Amino acid sequence: MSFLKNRWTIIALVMLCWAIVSSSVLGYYYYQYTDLVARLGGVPVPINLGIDYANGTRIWFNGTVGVTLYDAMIRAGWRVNATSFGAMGLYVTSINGITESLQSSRFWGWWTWMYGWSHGGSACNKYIVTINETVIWYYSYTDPTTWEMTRPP
Amino acid sequence: MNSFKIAMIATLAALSIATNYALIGVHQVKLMDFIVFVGGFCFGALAGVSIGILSWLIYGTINPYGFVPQVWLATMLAESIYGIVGGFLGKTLASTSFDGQRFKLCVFFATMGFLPTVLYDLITNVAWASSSNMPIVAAIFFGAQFTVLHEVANAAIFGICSVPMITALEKLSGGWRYVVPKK
Repeated sequence: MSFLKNRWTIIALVMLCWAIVSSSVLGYYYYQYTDLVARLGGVPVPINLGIDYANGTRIWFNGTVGVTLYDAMIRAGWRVNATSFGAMGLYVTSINGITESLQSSRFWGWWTWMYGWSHGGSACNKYIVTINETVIWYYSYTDPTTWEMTRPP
Repeated sequence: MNSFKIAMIATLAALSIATNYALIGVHQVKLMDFIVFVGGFCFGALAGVSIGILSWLIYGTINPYGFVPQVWLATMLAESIYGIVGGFLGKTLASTSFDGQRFKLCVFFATMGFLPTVLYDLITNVAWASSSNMPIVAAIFFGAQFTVLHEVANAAIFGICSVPMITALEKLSGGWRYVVPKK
């Protein structure tokens, strides 16, 4: 049979099977995740929320509760200005009157503590916080060429 | 259909039902699909479809997990896919010798175990979702852990067992496969 002689046919069939398995597993975990979020989405949890203005002032709001990070910030009484990017979420431009500055290359970014500060990586209103998580907003100096943000000290 | 074929259909259907009951506690891992496929491969699509329907007629009605008519009809219909695929491949590979290309055939049969199972699971999940008023897409993805296990198990069974089983049945039928003499 000619198609059996062509090894690429077999490889293509195996890859097709692999693609189906991967897609099924992806779909399964996506549904599990959305189901979990739907079940827990309405439950605010306490976190350790901090803000660092990069001028030596760091204030902690330990025990602040929230569902998302943005929710916790609002419940902590912060004044937050943000631009919405639709499904991608909010981009924070100003916190408590301190606005990002292109001239001095300083922007707001949030970091979470996991054996050191790790950059948040998603919009604050899309990030569902976990119990007793430590999160800090830092007015970071950002390298204008690489867009790399300075870690909080 | 000659008496030998009818006897083989009855024997394979009995084997399929017996293995299904024997493996009742092992979820998603069954030899039924493989037996239906091999039946179709060696004795034609009609024989394969008959084995599948006969198996489900008994296993579907006398089942410790219960009986849902819609799901039962869907499984019976979907089980025929293995017989049809087996029949088609049996006809296509009728005069092909397995010697010297066993590994390639094992991989090929594994994929042929996997792909019809995807269709089988899709049909049965849609039937189950319809009978339990569940959204179809949600039913498909929520049941993905079971379908993936079923697909992978079938790929392994088809890949490992097809060549030996077909060879054995070929010897039993006097060196003929799908009423075509082997080269």
